Amino acid sequence: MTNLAAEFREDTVPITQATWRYIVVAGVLFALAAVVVGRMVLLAFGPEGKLILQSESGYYLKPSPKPRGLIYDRSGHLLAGDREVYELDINLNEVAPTDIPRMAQEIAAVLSLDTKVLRKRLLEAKSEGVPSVMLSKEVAKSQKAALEKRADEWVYKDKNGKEVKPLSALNFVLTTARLYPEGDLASNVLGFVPPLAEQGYGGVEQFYDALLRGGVEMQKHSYAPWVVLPTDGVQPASLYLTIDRNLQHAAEEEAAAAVQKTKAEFAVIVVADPYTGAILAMATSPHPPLGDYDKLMAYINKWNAFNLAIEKPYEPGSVFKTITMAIALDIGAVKPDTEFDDTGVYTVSGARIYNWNRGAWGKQTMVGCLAYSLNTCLAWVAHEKIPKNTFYRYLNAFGFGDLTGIDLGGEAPGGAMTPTTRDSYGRPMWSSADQASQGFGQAIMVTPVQMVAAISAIANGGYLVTPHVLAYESMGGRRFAYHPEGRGQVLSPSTTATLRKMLTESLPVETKTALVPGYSVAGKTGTAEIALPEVGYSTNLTNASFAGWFPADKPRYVIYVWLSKPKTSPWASVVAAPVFAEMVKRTALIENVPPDDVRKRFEGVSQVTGKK
Amino acid sequence: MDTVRILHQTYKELPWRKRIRYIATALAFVLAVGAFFFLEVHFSNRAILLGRQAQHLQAEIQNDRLEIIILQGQLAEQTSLNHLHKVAKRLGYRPLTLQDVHYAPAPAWALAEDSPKPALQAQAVPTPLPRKYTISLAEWLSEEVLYPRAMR
Repeated sequence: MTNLAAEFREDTVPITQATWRYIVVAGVLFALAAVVVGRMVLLAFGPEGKLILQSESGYYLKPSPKPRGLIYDRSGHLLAGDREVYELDINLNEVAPTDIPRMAQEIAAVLSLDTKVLRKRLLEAKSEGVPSVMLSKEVAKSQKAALEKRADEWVYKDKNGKEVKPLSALNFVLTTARLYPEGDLASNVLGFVPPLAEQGYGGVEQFYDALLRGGVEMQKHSYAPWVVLPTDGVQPASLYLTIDRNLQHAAEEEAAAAVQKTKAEFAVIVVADPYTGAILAMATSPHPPLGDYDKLMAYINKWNAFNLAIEKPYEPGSVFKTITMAIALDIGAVKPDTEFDDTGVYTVSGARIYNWNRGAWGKQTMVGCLAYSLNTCLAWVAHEKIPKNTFYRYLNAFGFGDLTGIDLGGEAPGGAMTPTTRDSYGRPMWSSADQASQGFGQAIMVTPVQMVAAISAIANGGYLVTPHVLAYESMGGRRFAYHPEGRGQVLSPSTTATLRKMLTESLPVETKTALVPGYSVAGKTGTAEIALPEVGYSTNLTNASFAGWFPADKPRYVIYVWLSKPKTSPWASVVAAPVFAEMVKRTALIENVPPDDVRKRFEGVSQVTGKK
Repeated sequence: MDTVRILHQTYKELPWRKRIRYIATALAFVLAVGAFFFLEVHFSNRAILLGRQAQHLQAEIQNDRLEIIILQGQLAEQTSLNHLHKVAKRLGYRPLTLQDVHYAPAPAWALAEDSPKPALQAQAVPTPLPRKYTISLAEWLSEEVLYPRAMR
């Protein structure tokens, strides 16, 4: 072995200096390559690579503002939008206790807060070791800029010579709050979103809260830079309402004018399409003030309602006579020329029912009963001409005592005494006097929107529509139309045709103040005395209503007016009917409804050939 | 040192074809490993850059969306009835009521003499159109370009 090695050694080629240089350079290059490759391997599979691999599944949360869905009128005018606001909190760990008094002063001056209260709050939180305090949920952009400017200006050096900016402890988080470009227009329809909440209350905001919901969303962000997590989630929908901005404005103006003129407690005006149930305007005066949350709460507490048109049931009075007459006509119990001999009083179960003027009107046809709004006549029709069960079956079919299904939050069902009503001991409460009273609109509580649905059925041929305010929703660039299901045929078309004719004939006799030159209108007034606890029906306090439509022969708009406790006159024919007439005029102008003679001239004329 | 000598000796004594094969194999191995990890790092890098870009774009989309909504609100505010009422009031206009409505004759229209007072059902008779609306191209060329009035 030793010999072989020695032999090998003897045969070796001597390594020259040049060869050594090659070997060293090759060695260095190889080492470099090894380092590069090794680094690559480590990056891919080493601890760093593992960290990156782990981070693929890891994520962090970051607040991101998600604006609430927008609400438009039927023409695309924005009624409720979003504005840029900031949530403001302060990181107390970065604040020296000695800076707190001035800090409170600076912040309070910009945010219009009470300096003393804020200072006390901050000092207490600091002493308790609270790390962060929320200062405001709605800081405007201008206020943010002012605070940032103050933060830059207020600088001092501490003992160690380090620069201190106390207001840099303020932390702004971008979010959104509701904006109402049209002010309080249709506020009772829109609803509201309280400053500290993401949930909507009242109106559309409540009913469609799930679709509109926004707020500050904690969004997932991956640690791995190449992982893009979906951040869209479910985007809020934009809602397009059936409400027309101009009609709503007109209705609100007329309601406010009516309150001012008649000194009524409040006024409600609803304009609807009788064929679809689409609400074109729903005005209340006063209306909820959306701009000021404290005033809004005071409004809700005062009226115990947000939207008086759907949340305040009341005894409608004579407008309900149209429903009684419709039932009687539909079952064939009466005809327009059926006669009733009015003696001025109608007695049922010991209760005496009088006419509005306590007068006796002698022999009257059914048209006369409506024209002179005779309580005795309609009590007779309800009590003697319509069987008990049939009467209540019809009321049920009309949806009285039940929700109409309107897509607004907080709807009230109203109610009426029926043969099945029992007291807390299980004793029946109903008497036939109730049915007679209900015949002329007392002893039954309805909401304006229920009456709109019922009157629409008379106007459209007997089909009970579902009142609604949503035309369509827009989500993710797609539109979804909203067509609520109707509630069935409640009256035959022939009945409604007869009743429409009766009401068109009776209205000029009943009240001329509801008439509009050039346009045929149909409708009925309603003056209902208000029942006071332990006093009974007051003769001074009334609910004055008017339910009608136009054009009378081809109904396009149903208009309902309700004035609560008017002072200048208790009679609907004096206070409510003129409001209806004004609304007809304004609706005709806004909607370009031609006068009857012009319309009839062009009815049936081909738009292509111009021939009939 | 012996190992180096042995490797050097072995290498020197190898036929040149084998030498090349060994060198090529070694180079190919290094290149393959290098290429593999180069690709790995390259794609990771691309993914990181694109991912970051996507994240930025996503944030931008969200910001833009928010901005659009906010600007939409501001625009609606500026064009609202509410705002226009204030502007009109500031400019001295007063609200128009139905009683205030009156009819003014429009310049291009005239009413028939025996027609009733202006109302929606009134038949309006248009005045004959000015010549500039009825003139043919040839006439226009002749009257206005070839033989203008001043020249004739």
